[in-house]
Amino acid sequence: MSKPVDVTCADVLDRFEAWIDGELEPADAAKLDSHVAGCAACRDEHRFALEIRSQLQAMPVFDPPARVVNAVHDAATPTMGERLNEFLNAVMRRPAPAVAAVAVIAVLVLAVVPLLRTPTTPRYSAEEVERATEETKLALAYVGGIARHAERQARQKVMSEAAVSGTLREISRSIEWTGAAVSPAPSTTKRPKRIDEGSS
Amino acid sequence: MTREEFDAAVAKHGRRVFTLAVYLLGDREEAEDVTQEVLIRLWRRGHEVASEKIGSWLVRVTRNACVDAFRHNDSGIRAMTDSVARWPSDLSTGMPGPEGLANASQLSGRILGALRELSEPHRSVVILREIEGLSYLEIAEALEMPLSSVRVTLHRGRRHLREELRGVRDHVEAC
Repeated sequence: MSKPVDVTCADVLDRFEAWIDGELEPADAAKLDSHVAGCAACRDEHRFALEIRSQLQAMPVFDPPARVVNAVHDAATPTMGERLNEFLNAVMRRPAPAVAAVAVIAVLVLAVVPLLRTPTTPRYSAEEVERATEETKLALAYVGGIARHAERQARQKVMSEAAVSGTLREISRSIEWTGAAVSPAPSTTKRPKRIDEGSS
Repeated sequence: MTREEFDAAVAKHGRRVFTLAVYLLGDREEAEDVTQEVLIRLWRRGHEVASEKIGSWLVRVTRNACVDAFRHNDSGIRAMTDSVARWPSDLSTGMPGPEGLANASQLSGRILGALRELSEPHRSVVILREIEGLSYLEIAEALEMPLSSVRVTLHRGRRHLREELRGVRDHVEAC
């Protein structure tokens, strides 16, 4: 069988992969089919290419070993210590809200717990409830006092820093004046001329 | 990402990740390390990826991790002639006949060696297409390449393999 004149071995090699993948147009594929059928070298190349593909497609695939999966699960699960550490870090970063939240929770507990008790069997006397309420008010006032004290301290710190910078400015200005007094600059101010009165 | 979603993703894609790492790196221990790193990254960042894109995302991350491992080791391309023993031991399964087995094992070892000689992205594309069986579209999404580029890259990769192995083939047939 003679090779078609319009398809050479170089043409086959150029489109070889697309041909064996079945991606050529039918007319082009037919030309290559015809050429390969009549060309021992291209036929051999075709067989070799198919063998390589077959070997590649027969290569095994692998599941990750159990120790890798277990290590991943261990890394994905935070320990109790890590969880506690993360919680404490969050509280330490923002202590004021945490203190306020604790105070609010304490108030709610003290206010709600008496209401949950059945009225027919009061556990605490009226005097005890009143005392607990007063103590809660004192606790809230104490927390408020802490917050106001912290605010005052912060304000004083800002003011003292402003005072220090103001003092530094004063010192700097006095240094400038002292330098000016030692070597006064000549006066450049001109006196106005008197206007003659009655001159002829 | 919930723990259940994570476990399902590992069960579904773990094999693909590990297989890709094994064939890219040619070293099982390194492949295990890369696989562990990739799956931990899935746990930490999987919530940023759409569930239908997890597979392609994992392939991309695995390939990048293998490239980083190459650079870190600075070992370049390892010779495969004496490193077949380092590969998983079941490479010879499915080969026909005792004589064919001896020749096929030698050829498959040389194929693996030639595969490691391929440059990127030809090597990744050949592994993903011929060994892992991904479609052109899946490879294009994973490696962020146009579909036409995947096809061209695959064809060139296979041609380089053939050219590299032609000498081996002649030797095997002469024996």
